[in-house]
Amino acid sequence: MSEDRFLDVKGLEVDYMTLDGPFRAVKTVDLHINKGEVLGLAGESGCGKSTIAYALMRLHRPPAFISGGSITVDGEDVLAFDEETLNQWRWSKVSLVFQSAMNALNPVLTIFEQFRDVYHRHTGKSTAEARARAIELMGLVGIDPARLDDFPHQLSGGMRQRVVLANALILEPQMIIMDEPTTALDVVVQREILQEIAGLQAKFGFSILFITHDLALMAQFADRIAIMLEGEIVEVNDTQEIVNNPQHDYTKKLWEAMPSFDDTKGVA
Amino acid sequence: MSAPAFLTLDQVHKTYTLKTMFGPTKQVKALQDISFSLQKGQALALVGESGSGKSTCGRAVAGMFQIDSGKICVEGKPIATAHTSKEKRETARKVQMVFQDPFASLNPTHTVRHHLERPLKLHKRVPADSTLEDELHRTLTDVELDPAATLEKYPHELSGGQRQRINLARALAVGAELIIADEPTSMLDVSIRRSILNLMKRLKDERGITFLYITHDLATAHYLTENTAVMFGGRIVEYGPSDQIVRDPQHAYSKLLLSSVPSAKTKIDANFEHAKDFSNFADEVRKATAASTAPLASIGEGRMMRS
Repeated sequence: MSEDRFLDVKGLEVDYMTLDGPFRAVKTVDLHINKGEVLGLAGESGCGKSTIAYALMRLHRPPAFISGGSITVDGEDVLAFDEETLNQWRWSKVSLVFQSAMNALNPVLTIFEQFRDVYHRHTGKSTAEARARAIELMGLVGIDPARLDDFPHQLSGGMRQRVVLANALILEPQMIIMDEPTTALDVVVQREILQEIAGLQAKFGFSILFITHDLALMAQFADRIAIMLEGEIVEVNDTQEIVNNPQHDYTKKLWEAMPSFDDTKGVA
Repeated sequence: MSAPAFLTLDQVHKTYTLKTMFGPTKQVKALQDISFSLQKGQALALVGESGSGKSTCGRAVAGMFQIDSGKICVEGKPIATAHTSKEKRETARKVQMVFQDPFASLNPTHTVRHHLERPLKLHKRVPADSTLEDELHRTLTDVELDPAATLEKYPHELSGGQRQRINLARALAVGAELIIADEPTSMLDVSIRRSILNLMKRLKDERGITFLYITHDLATAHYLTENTAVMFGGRIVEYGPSDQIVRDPQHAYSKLLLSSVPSAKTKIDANFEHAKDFSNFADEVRKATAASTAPLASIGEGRMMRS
């Protein structure tokens, strides 16, 4: 079993330094993701789910500190990397898709320049090669490659999220961390993007850590779901079990918090 | 129609002219031929994607801008003909708005007391047999907040859900009869969305407050409202009782909207080719819907659709 594990997190602890002393945002979290698996991570705002995402990429800057535990990705100890290894490792092995596509793209660079930036830095290849790769990726996410020379503000929200997704794929990473990738989008566009992600995942077989607060959305797509509350993972199970047979009270509460079409009317 | 409607919109049109920094000016048809009526104590949901005109419609009802043509009437009186300040204040009192962003809609430099006192004083809502203090307490109790604990607090000391309650309280304080709620729960955490919805539902059922509920979430629309109007490109494409629209949507766009709502019961189709098909299908439906100029026609009891 364990050789299938792409990501293995043991006893992870993240602290934020505050004036009143350290605040523990992530409390001894264990989780793992197998190769090609989609793990959903759900919880309300402030429960530490994004903090975990940042910790996995070692993106935390003071006052945030990883104060305990281990992170192993593909057999390598991520916490032991030096800065240079880390820069090479990020994006080529594991990439990250942020919630707000507008903030993830540089507003003064064209779409192509954003692609070239990553590509050139990691592979040292020429602009022409970057162009070819960018055109290929744009085709993959269903945007006309002619839009490569547009600026982010000229694209719609859904297109921007597609560009961010394409950018995360540029070095063919083995895992993509997605931090609420569809939250800022309309339902129909959200569905399109989700379908896109599921399709790309089936095609390339990368692992996904999918973070959202929308349990129903997550259940449509994840293989397993972890539920987080106040820095701790309170329940992890197969999606079917989380949907049909939630064990923890908080999981049940999360399900009840969302009105669905099955709700009887007139009951407050 | 038995009782006269509380709110009626009759062929409302609004076109924005965009003057871009470069290039020619652009005309954006934000509202086209919007007609509906809303009975007192009922709720109507305006559902659609960003840019469909649903918020513009809510703002038009609140009188935040002049419409180009058509008529908006509150209790049979057109809001555009209110001339004296007394008439204007009366419409403003009856029609109140709750905005999407609870963090931006309260003044960060003032306490909750200030936010509630001002509307009470401006609209002279303190009866002779009561005091301002009593009214403040009553209003906060109405939205299920503890008056003693919240009155002196600043907005940053409150959670998103509590702030949205303050916004509702502010509307109730002046005796609002119609509350236009523009995506009031979309910026709140999932775990508290339900409680705000329940509060609105209770206000509707127990106080007879009329709601114009603007959302992109069909599930919450179905939960709160009697009727739903699906909007696209500034037009209403389908109108009818909410449960019927959810159970049996007729318009292609309503169907698309409904099929996109996440449901834990169906797995997403993880196939690379199918993802493209869905996107293309969605684009086709949007194009066809935008191109159609057919009028809203009845398709059965209380239901209307543009074919």
